[in-house]
Amino acid sequence: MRILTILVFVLLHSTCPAQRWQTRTAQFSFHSSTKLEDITAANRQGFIDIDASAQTITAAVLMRGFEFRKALMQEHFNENYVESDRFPKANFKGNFTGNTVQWDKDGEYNTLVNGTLLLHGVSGHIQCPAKITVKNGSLSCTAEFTINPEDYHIKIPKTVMDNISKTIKVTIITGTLNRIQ
Amino acid sequence: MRKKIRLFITLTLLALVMAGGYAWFLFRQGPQSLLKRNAEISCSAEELSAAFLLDEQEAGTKYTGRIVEVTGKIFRHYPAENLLTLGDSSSTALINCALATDNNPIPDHLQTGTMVVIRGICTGFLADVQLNQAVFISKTAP
Repeated sequence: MRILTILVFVLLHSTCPAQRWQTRTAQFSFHSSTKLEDITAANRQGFIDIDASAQTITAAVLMRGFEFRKALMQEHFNENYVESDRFPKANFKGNFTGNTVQWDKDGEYNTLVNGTLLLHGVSGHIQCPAKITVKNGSLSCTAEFTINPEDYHIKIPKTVMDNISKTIKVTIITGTLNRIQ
Repeated sequence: MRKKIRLFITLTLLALVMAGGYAWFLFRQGPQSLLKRNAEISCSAEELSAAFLLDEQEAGTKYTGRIVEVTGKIFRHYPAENLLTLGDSSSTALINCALATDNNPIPDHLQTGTMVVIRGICTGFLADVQLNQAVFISKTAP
């Protein structure tokens, strides 16, 4: 009986290959809009791992990798706001909780992602809609959510408080993810 | 006496306007191209990735935030994303270079495996060693 159980287990795992995709070139961008100023920064080197079997998504990005149009703004972002030396990475771990995605069937799927964002050493809950596109066995994903810097203990000096929105829009565009074994 | 006061006020106002203008210029300035700046550290792609794989914290202290000139083989070029990776299929970690968007394109004829020199600011390690504002310096002899 025990041998039979092991055989069934081995057979099941050999016939159902893990469905896992990764990219190291995902684009993470954020946007702040106020009457005084629009601020946008992007990082083109984000890491994303999607495990379809476990319905999980892991994302990570280096804070120093965000590129701004203004050099001084980038310096202030790293040194004063997100303190990139102390907290070099932002991580997100979540699950797909919305509509079922048929990972092996071409189509566009609107689903939900629920998870925890670790930013500036503070964890926060994120729930956001995500669009997954499956085409010819490859996968891409886009998601958008908002965060409040205050929730992550990011202090904005009073002198520039009116230039930075209290709500920051974050957009993730994965590009094509590579299937891994 | 009045003339002196008037001159003093005029000079003070002029100094304030000039200081304000300079501050505004600095604030509006984009990142300076690394083509115009010297590298602080030069090393091979293998050396750089090995340092982070061995001790991420120590390598971070040495390389992060510095201008690093890296010599390595082109592993992959992503023209749409303006990214370039250095290393080869045996590399555990590659050097992921986010190329600067200014006038410094990677020459089209450079193919996978070509030895090149890239200068960029090291931003740390995340699956690969990452450089940004990276610029193409030269092709080297194999």
